[in-house]
Amino acid sequence: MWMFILKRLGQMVLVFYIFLALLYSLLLAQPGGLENQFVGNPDIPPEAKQELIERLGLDQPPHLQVLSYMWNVTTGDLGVSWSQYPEPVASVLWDALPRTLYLFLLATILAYVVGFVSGKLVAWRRDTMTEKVVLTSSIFLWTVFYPWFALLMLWFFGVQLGWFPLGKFITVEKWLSAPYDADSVFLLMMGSAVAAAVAYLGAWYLIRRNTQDWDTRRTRSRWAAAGIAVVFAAFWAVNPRGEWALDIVWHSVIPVVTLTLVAYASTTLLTRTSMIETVKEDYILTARAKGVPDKTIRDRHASRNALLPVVTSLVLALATVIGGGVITESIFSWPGIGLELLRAITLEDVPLAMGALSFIAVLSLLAHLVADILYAVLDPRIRVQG
Amino acid sequence: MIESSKRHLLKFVALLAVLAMIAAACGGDTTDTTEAEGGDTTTTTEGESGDTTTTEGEDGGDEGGEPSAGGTYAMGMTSDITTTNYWTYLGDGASGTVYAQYVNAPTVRGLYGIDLPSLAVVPDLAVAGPPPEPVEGDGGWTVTVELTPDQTWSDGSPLDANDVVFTYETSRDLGLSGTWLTMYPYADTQSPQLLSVEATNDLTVVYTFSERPGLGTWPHNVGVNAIMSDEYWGPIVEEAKGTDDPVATLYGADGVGAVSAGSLILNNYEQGAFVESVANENYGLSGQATTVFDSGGVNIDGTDYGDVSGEVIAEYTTGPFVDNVTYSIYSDQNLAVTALIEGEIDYWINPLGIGTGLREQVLNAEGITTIANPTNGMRYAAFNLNKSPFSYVEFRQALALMVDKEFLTQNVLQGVAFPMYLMVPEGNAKWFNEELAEEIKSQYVGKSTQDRLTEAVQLLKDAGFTWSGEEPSFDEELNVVRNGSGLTDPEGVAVEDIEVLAPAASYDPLRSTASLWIETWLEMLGAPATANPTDFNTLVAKAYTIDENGVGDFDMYLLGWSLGNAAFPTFHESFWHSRNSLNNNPDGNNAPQYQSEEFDAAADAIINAATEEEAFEAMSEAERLLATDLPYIVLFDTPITESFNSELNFPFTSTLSGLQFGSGFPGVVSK
Repeated sequence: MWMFILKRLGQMVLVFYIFLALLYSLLLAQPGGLENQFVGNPDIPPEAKQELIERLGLDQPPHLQVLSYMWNVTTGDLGVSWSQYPEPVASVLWDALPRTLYLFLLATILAYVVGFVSGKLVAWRRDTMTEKVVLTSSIFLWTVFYPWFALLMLWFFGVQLGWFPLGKFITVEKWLSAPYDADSVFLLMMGSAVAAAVAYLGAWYLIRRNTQDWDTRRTRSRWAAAGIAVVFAAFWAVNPRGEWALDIVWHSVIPVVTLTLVAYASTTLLTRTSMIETVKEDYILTARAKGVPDKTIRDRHASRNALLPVVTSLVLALATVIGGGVITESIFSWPGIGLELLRAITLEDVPLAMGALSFIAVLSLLAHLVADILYAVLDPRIRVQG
Repeated sequence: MIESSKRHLLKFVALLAVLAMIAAACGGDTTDTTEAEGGDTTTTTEGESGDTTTTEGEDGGDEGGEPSAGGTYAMGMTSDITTTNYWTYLGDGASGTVYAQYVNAPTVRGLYGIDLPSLAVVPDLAVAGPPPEPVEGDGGWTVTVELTPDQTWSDGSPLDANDVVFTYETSRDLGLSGTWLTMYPYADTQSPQLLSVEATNDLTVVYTFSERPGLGTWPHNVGVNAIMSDEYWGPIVEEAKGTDDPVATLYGADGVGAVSAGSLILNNYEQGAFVESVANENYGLSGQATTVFDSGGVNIDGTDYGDVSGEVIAEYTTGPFVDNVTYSIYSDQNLAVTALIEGEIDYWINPLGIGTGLREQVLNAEGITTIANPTNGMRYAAFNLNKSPFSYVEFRQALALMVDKEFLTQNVLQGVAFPMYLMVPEGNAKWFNEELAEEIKSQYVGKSTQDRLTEAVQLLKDAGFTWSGEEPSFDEELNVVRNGSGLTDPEGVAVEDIEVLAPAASYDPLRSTASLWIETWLEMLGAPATANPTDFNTLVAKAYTIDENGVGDFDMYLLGWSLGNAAFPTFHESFWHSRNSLNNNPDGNNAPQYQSEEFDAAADAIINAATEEEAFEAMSEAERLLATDLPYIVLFDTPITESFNSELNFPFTSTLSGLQFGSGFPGVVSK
């Protein structure tokens, strides 16, 4: 297993450096010099221009620039944002990351949980009205033009019903007097969510080790989840940042629901297809012949095996959510990595755009690694072949 | 056992739900209040849909009258700001965005300011009266300015001549470039160089220049530059000087909460969400009475500036009248317009105004006033004067005759643009020479296609052009032009396919469409042509790159300019002076490589003019030369359309480039 992971890690590093080299080469291949953005002002004296060019390293030959860039990224130096000078690129991205993670992780996980459950159910209830309704709605949501759908959601729930705010992630009037900045609240929200998730995973592991009976294990797991939820709720109820976090949650409802609906559709369809294939397997027939209850066959025999492609899809989706949020974050005015990337491109902030793309590349590669490991864990044949 | 567990679970879930409801209720109080506050904005909407207007120059909203005090002026922006630090905003790099300007500009003052809408230079920190004239002395040319006494920063500390000196010395000592270098030309390569700024006492500041500064240097640039607080920024600058990169350290300082001289203090910035500025109670211009005249002059507290012989178009008192100004960030235009219509914001501030696609929404909304104003820009066709056939002025003149701007703007572009005949836009009433514009316009307007073609062909023939194929002609029976073919230049060289570069339709559909018509007009003359909509950056790179012989690799291109300082336009020198020709200055803006001694003299005379009258005369001469030599054919521009809550009271809404040009006028608006 370790060799497998090491081999994959080696491939990842290689792919990452090829990506960096291509990225910088593409930048150099663009018409016009990078320095033009700064030295276009005819009032800047020639010596100042030269100094600037040297400072940016643009006086070096292209191959040295590429190598220099790769080395800087290796040492964690993504440079300084040109549009938010002198803010380091890493700092800009780091500030935006919690907002993106919050929105997209929540939506993706919700979408996969709901999508998996509904896909499992409709695969089991073939040719019923439930299947037709779920299939029709899933295909609609899967194929819908996303920006239109997102605006429609905003218009309906924000303008027509007035239930939710029109985009943004906080209420301006409320936060004018806020004693905290939104980033600190976001970080606490993310931290508490991670702590809750870790606590649940720990509890689940202990329950699994100490409980053999399936039903008891499930009941205890639910109790553990409920207990953690209570602690989580209590923590936020007494925390002075609670009301500010609630405002963020209120603003995230429409984007999360919109993203969930769209992502849920594809998971439902994927799970359904996977389940339909799985229930044709001989071991399902055997289980039925043995008189195992339908629910048990569905939940313990079929769905667990049907989970494999869904898990892969989830892991890869988690990677793409970081960078794939340009449209979502633009429409909902949600200032995350996607908006930073868009702004960097608009303002020709080359270091920031390249930093954001490198960041997305690293996360994508990591996600692929996790997917590979998960696959290997879930299906030992892959490890052997790998 | 299982049933019992389920019951327990249900109870627990019910308890959680109750807890959740309690938590939501606790948070809901504030939320409800917020909604109520937002609702106040829209409950008493003034103006019916009939109040809305897109008629150019017609004012909307409530104007004049006694401004009411208090309230929040809520603006929306479609991009976050890049800096809260005014040093950084004017520095090099990409931080000087228009959104940073909207937020930062109302926090500063200069010795002089540019009054809007008159564009007159008026005193700000300086005492009443016009800017003093430069005087020749031993060490160069000096300008001595008296400051108004008892001016303070927002924290109450004195604002005096020492702050002026501090600002200049910081720029010079730290070597700040970008706009700082333009505003304070301290570099020895600049002419005239600003040699020193000294305070002879707390209220007197003396500028010394190496040569006699023209209007382009004094008062424009040097006199209107922002003054920064010595007391507040001094320690930060000193600390910066001790670091490896003093400029980066200064630029990295947070400007939120910094002392302000302007009408607003930048108070709060939540990245990606909003900026809040609060009214500066110590604003030195509060209570100032201003009367604006349609002749372009203005009267401030009894002193006239410019021509005040015309009708009064606005009378107002300077505020600020609002308690605070919020700039909410919506990254989607649809969302910003919806927020405006729903009353969440009072005004969506952006440099391009409301686009055609969104205009219908605001025009149909109640309680929203929509205005249109001319802009300070132009879109043009430029030619490579080093390549045939554009190296022949007669060919450029022939093409100018064929380009029917009225047809292009009214019929093809459906009235979304207006034709231009001078480089100075008509909206800049102070510098626009109406008489000259009419003179030039009369050479083109009112002529039929046949007349235009006949004149153009004659021009080409007179210059020695010939046609190896058909000569262009007009078929009176069918009322169509019969295209010429095989146009040959006076050297006997056949004119090759002319590439008409223009931004792609996704970037600017107007210029993209215009390029197709220019292709048609060129082909009418017998010159083969192909319109080539091109990526903007590729186009710019092609237009501004020359080979080893100093020749550009293009035939012609369509681009546009935003013309910068409307109060004293210096773009003639920048765009067409031979010193800015790419073969003389690789960073210059004269891509066509227009070189004319006569024009150079006129362009220099604009910048070096001692009076506005002199500058106006020189500018008219420069325009006359451009209209004949045609390195550019100026085509058209579009007005800026803006919408705002009808409850807002602006003292005027007819102003060049719209309300956004004055950062939304937070210092004089009331609700």
